[in-house]
Parts: sequence; C-alpha cells; structure tokens
Amino acid sequence: MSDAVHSARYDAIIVGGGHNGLVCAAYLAKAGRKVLVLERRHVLGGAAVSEELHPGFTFSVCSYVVSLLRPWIIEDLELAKHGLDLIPLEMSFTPHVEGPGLCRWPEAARTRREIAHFSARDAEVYPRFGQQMTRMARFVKPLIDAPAPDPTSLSPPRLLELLDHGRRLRQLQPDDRMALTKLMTASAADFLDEWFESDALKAPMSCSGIIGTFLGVRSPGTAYVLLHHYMGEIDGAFRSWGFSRGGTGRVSEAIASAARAYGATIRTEAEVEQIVVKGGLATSVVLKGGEELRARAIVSGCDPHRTFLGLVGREHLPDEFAADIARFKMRGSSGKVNLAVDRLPVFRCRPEGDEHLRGDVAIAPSMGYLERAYDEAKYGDFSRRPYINMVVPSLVDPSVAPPGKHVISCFVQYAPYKIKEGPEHWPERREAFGDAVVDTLEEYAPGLRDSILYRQVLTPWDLEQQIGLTEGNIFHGELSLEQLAFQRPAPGWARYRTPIQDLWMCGSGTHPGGGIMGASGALAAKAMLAGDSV
Amino acid sequence: MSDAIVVGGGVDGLVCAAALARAGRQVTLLERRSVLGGLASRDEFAPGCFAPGVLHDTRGLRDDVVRSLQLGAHGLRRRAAEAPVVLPLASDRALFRHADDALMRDQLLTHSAADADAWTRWRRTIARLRPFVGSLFDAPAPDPEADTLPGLLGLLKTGLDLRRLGKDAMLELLRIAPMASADWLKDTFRDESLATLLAAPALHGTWLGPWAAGTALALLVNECSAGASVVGGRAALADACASSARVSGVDIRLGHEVTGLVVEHDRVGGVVLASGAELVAPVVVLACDVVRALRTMLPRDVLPQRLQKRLSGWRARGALARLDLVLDGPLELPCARGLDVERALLGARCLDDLERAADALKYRALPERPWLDLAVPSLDDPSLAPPGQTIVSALVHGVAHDLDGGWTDAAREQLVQRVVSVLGEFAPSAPARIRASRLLAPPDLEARYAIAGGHVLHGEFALDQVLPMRPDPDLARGRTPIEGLRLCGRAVHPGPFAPGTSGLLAARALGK
Repeated sequence: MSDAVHSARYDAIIVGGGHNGLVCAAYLAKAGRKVLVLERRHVLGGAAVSEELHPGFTFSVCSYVVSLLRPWIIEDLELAKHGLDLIPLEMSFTPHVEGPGLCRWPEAARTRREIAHFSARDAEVYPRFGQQMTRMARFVKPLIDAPAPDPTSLSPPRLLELLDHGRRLRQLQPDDRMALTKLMTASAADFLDEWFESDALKAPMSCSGIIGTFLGVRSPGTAYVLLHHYMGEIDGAFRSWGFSRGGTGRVSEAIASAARAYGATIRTEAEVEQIVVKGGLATSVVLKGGEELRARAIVSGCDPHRTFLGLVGREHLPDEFAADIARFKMRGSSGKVNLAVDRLPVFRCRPEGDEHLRGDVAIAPSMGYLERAYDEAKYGDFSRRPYINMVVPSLVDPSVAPPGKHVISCFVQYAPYKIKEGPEHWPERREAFGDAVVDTLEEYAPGLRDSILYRQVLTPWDLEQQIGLTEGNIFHGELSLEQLAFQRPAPGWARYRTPIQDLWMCGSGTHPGGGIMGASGALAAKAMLAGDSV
Repeated sequence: MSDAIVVGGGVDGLVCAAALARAGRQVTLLERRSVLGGLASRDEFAPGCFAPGVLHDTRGLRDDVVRSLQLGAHGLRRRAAEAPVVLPLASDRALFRHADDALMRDQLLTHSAADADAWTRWRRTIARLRPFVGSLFDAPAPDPEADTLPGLLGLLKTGLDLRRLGKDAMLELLRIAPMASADWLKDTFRDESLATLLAAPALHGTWLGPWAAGTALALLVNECSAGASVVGGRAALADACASSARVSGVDIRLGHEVTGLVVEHDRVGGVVLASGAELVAPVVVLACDVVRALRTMLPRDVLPQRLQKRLSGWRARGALARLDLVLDGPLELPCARGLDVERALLGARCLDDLERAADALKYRALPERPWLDLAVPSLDDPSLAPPGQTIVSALVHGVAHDLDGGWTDAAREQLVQRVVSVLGEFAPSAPARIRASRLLAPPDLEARYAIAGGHVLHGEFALDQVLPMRPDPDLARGRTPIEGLRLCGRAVHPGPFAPGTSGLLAARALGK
C-alpha cells in the first residue's frame, strides 16, 4: 500500500461510473453527502456510453435504447436540464426474406392492417393484449420502484410490505391475476400462444422475453422478462422505447452533470483494484497505482462477481454468502455489432422509404428461427442465424453521423460467453461472429455488406474485458426467476446491504436490475440515507 | 338412482368411488374400456405377455390413500427394498441410483469422492424440505381465490408451514423451485453422469429439457414424495383399488363410455352415454382427463367464456412413447453383470442427451437417439410373462405427439429401430432375443386412454400448471362452476405425483 493514504475525506466512494453508480452518487450528493465516483475507463457510463469509434460516427457502443429509465429519477435529478433528450421509438419492423414483413406502428389502425395480413383474429386481439400488459406493468411497477419485498423476514415493516402486495394482488380482476401468475412462471411462447396464432407476430413479440438471458422463447421464466421490457416508459406511456439524442452516453453524461452540480466528485481513469476490508468493515479502496482512498461507506456499482469475488475477495465473506455469489449466474448470451454505413439499408420486403427504419428492426421471422438460434448456443456455439435487434439512430438523430451516412447498431443474441473452445478463444472467433451477423442481415437487406465503412464486433468476452461485465452479461446477472427480487444477488441480501459493514451495492445485479433503469442506484442511495449509514 | 357417478375407472376414479362408497354413498363407476385401471391397467400386448401400466413408478403413492381404502387388505404390498436404476458408464461399469442414501454415498466415495459429501448435503436439503413439499401433495391446493374464512385460514396455514421450515430452508425452496434442474444439479454435483441420472426421472410429463426453468420443481417434488414402490407396479395398485371399490359396494360398469353431461340451471343432473342412454345422479365426479372432458362433454356456454378460453390454453403435448418388448431369455446388461436389472436409464450419457430429446419435441422430429427409461416388470411380477421370457418396457423420451409428417408406418418403424439400437448398445444380446413388440406412440396413447395429446399426466407439469393453477384457479380443489360436478385425476392437484390422492380429496370434499 502506498503512503498516499488520505484521511476519511468522503462520506461515500462509488466504485464504477456506470449509470447506476452515477445515479447513486447524484442522490447522495443531493442529500448533502460528500461523494467520490471512481471510473476505470476514460469515459463515464459503463455499458451506457457513446464513443466516436470512426471519424464522424458516434456509436452507442453497448446499450442503445433507453426504455426503462425511471421517470421519477429523471424528475428528481432534473436530467432534462442536464441535457437528457429522449426521442421516442415507437415502431417495430420485422422483415421477412419473402413476403411483406410486419410493421407495428404507433397508429393502432395501421398496425391492425399489418397484422391482419397474417391473421385477422390476431389483429383484433392485439390491442387487448397491449391493454392487459399495461395493467400488468402497472401492477408490477411499485415493485420495481421500491426495494424488493422479503418474504423470509419476520420484521413488522417487511411483513406489512408483503401484506400490502398481497392486498393489491387480491384487488386485481381474476383474469388479470391469472395472467400475472402466468407472466411470473410461463415461457414467452406459451404466454403468447394463449393470445395469438400467427408465428410472424409472436416471434418478434417474444424477443423481449429472451433479451439478455440464456433462455429460449420456450423456456419458462421468459414471460417475466417480456413484462420487464414492457415497463419501459417515456413520458408516462408504457412500452415506449427511445433513443437518447447524441447516443446513450448522453444519459450517463446528464446524470454525471447532475451529480457534479450537487457537489459530487467524479474521477475517470481511476481503476479500483481492491475494496479494503478490516475487521468486517469496508474502510477504503485502493486504486491501480497504489493510491488508497477512505470513506464512511463504499458502494459498488460493479456486478456481484466482480465486486465480491474480485474487489473484496472471498476470504472476507461469510462462506454461505460467497457460495451464493459464486453460483449467481452471469452467463452472458449476447453481443453487439456496430456498423458505420454509407447509405441506408434497403430491405427486400420494403424497398421504399425509410419510415419503417425509424424504430427497431427485429430479425425474428419465426419462433422456430429463435429456438434454433438458442439451440446452437445451448451446445456452446454462437447462433449462425441469430436474433438481431437493429436500430439506425442516425435516422432520427442526424447528429451521430455525417450527412447521408448512417450508424447501425445491432444487438445480437445468442453469443454464449462459454463457447465450446473456452471463452478466451472468443478473439479468434470474433470476426466469424461478426460475419454471421452481416450475412444474416444481407439475406434481408441485400447490399448492406457493401455499404459498410466500419465495423465493430463486441463479443461477450469483449464486454467483459472492455466494459467489466463479468461473462459479458449485460444485466450484471441473468434475469432468471431465481435471481430476481429478494434473491438478487443473493437470497436475503437484496436490499443493497452486504454482509460487510459499510459496503453497499447499487448496480444492475441488485433489485430491480437490468436495462438503463437507474432504479438500483437510486434505491441504494435511499436505503443508505434512510439508515443514516452515510 | 345412485348418489354419485364417477366417470373413469383409473386409479383416481377407483379411489374416489371407493371412498364415497365407504362413506355410505351409492356410487356408480363408469369405465369406457373393458378393463379397469386406465393408464395403470394390465395390458396383454402379445399372447401371454402383459405390461403392468404405462408408467413405471409407484413411489408417489401416499399412505393416506392406502389407509383410507385399506388397500393392504386388498392385496397391496410395498417393496421392502427398491431396485436400483442403472446408468451405464462403460461396457463394464455403471452408476446406480439407490433409494438408500448410505448405499448411494458408499458408491459415490469410489465414483466421485467430492460428490459423496455433496450427496449427503443434497439429501439433507431434500429431507428439510420434504415436510412442506410433501404436505402440499397430501392436501388440496392452497386456494388463492378464497374469500371465505376457512379458505383464508388455509392460505395462512400454507404460509405458516412455509415459514416453519426456517429461513434458510425457505430461501432454498424459493430458489430451487423456478430453476432448471440441470442448473440445480450442476451447482451441487461435479459428476455429470450423476446429474443426468438424477435429472431424468423428473422430466416425465414435461415438454422440456433439463436446461429449462421449472424442471427443478418437478425434480424436487419427485424426490420429496418418493416412498416405497408397490409390488407389481401400477397394475397391482389398480387391482387393489378396484377390489376395495367392489367390496365397498361400488357399482362398476365396464364398456360404458360417457360422451356428455346433463346440465340444467347450472346443476349437473347426470351423464349421457355413447349408446345415447342417460344415467341420472345429483353428483358427477369426472376422474378422466378432465380438461378434455370439460371441453368436449359439456353443452356449449355452460362454462363461462373466460374459463373456456383459459382451458383452451391448457398444455398437454404428449412427449413420450412406450415400447413393450418380449425377450426370449433375460435382459443382460454387461455394465451391471450379475445383477437382475429392473430399471435402467439408457441413451443418456450427459445432460445434453436429455436436452436433445426435448429439442426433437420442439421441431416435431423423431429423436435421433432417444433416451429410454427402461423397466423389466416381469422380474417383480413373473406372472406377466410365460416362463423363460422377459418383459422389457421402455418409456421413450422426446417423442412428439404432432410429429412433422404424421405418424406413418415408416415413422413408427424408424422409432422402433432407433429404440432397439439404443437398447442394443447397452444390452448387445437383447435385439436378437426380441420375440414380440408393441409401440404406443402418443396418438395411440391418446386414442387408447382418451387423453388429450397422449399426455400421460393429463397436462404438462410446468410452473404455470401446478398447485391451484392445475388446471385453473376456478377449478382448483376439484370444484367447478356447475353444482354437483366435481373433478379429480391427474389434471387436478396433486394429480400426477400422488396416484389416487386427488380422487380421495374429491371424495372428502363431497363428504363435507
């Protein structure tokens, strides 16, 4: 340890300048606490960053759409004043190699006509499905905007919380109660099968049930992830997704700007190598280079594996907790391919105009296609024909690309972290993975390959090495049923505390986790402030 | 006129009828086929050769059923020692699933020492969870719709029972239930063959592979509800139940197929038979595939639309076939030389083999290499086969009901060939000894036993089809919106895992 040991100058040090760490810092600073954020990289935002990777082209390198950022956080931190500008993304296009493809538009009548092409019945049912999902999302919303209820605790406040949720559950109409039970237990495919008959509609709808998980559309538990993604809200409307003007990094910058305005100090290129634990207390952090910084509380925005097995070290943890963390499933399953192109892609099934490219484009032609993509991953390979969620942000936000040129961002699944050869062999397979993505797109949009000026391929291995996401999991741990709510990241440790006194968690690996929500960061800060722990 | 008609002479129907009769009711039991027992009926599939029911396992039978029907007095005997399940590892080596924990641990000490301790811990977890999980499968499902005081007290009791497990055990239960069985087992054990051996039995009746979430619950329930097997298998259980029903005075009528229910003013009045005749009774208990029955036997619009819609979403996609073989001579497995193998798991070397069978289901293709849950029932009950011959029954997994291209003769032939080839891999002498065989593909099971999709559990065992969701909250605990009409059987909690229990619970509910 170096001699540069500072006295306890900070109330809280936040390890990791991802969006949750920044939100946590902003809330603590707003409450008058002296806060320091330490970020390993030269940019803030963690997985929510924008970078100019190719001259004139700004990429939302990892996270590329903003759907789940909690409105109360935007309001509390006055993020609009700090430059946050969200552009709604309200349509969704599913191209097909043959046939017209399917667009779902903001206008209900137009969507009905599109769906009716595949099934008149589905077209009728579609709006009712949306209404039910909205009711479900309304029901679940209080759960994601508060710390997880804990059914194992016998303390009166916890029991009252549980009773309250029970009471709300009983107030639901029986059909909604049944639907909710199904959402919590069924597969996305089974859930959608009860509503719709058309494969062409069900396939793109089921995709939000698998994003970021190592599950197929027919795996139970994926219906919940479907709902999780339905909770996105912009200006109060459920299921609206959006771009951040200037790229996703602007979200992080806005939060950072708010935090600074409240008095927080933020340092980049300050990599924490160790969280120092003495006598069961977290006392300080040690940076690469040896600098040691002390604080009353240390808050980790990193994922649970990295925090506890990396920065803290198993030897400081109770055995059972260490075992729980070790088996907390990370299992990254997705990659990212970012393209700079010299013209808009032209899709076989809709060659005219660009209206259908202003939302997201889902390569998900059928349930069988998605299931096959999963099967390849199950046995240790990336999907030759993956599910791709593609957006062209430059179409709605021209600031991110030179005139006439475009940025294409492709979320790609499945790309399992643990490929057969072993994850460390990903670098040799990286370009083959990128080729599979481009080849797939080329089938739907011939000529796309020739329009590419620059290509960045991020495998789960890269997400781990570059962004620090263990096993490349974009949610800091799978959103599988046994890893949600009071079990996230370990049973009984879901309320941001850890078995180490003065060490807290605020990342996506805690409830409610996943997506650019910010809820984990805000709820962690509130828990710390309520307990007067900082 | 009888007080009650029970539709279906399977184990649940027999138990329900017998229990009602013992409580003093006049009961008529109607069975469509010419034999009793339903899926548990003893079947002559070749001259002088019998299969003792479709499913092998009888370990879920609850003592409550045995006591209530005095099945002991009707010939039911339970095994003192269970036959081990054999998983071949190499031509001369096998891993055994012993029911006895000490034997299992001893075996693991030589097979995979680290797993011996893991085994002890795993069994301890199951022992801790057994009182709660077991009690769930002894009783009607907790009733989430309960608005009455007793209903709420029942819910509260379930909650308290859960808490009584202690915080750690409760957390463990909540963690395990929604998991994939492969994850649970791989978190616990190092040796994959052990994980495979343990995972396989719980995949019966799911439409999923071990990597799918929710399969751990089936495994947990299986482990928690396992008692002693019945000597003679499911058929012997059905015999004892039938004998108890007869002695209790149940009027049993074979060859009586019910095609409709008489309903007036939301009250059941009796049943309509295939012959067109009507039988009148104020109470009718459906003890068949009840979801299918509710969808086909009721006049239109008797059930609320919403309930009908939900029932149309009930999943019962058959996922297994049964192949019965008669061998001239014994079944010899070189990997377990010197042992009379009664149960074996063939064609599943690792968890991925189990998973690949489930992939075949998804694509409605025949599994390339099916895995077999094999039983040799004639060892336990020699009367099943002529002297010197052996009955070998395989439950073949990964066989879709709605096979792409249909169940043509060629498809059947191909499946049999693949099964025999897997068998021959581990029992080289067996293929040449086959004297007769009979395949029951899912559509055969469907037609023969009147079960939708040929699904042997009357509906998949999945997270969203258990407890009060089995088959629907409005039908939980065997009630229906129609007065006098009650349900039991495998589509009603605790159906699939506890033969007869749902029949017993239905009879008790009527007694109140």
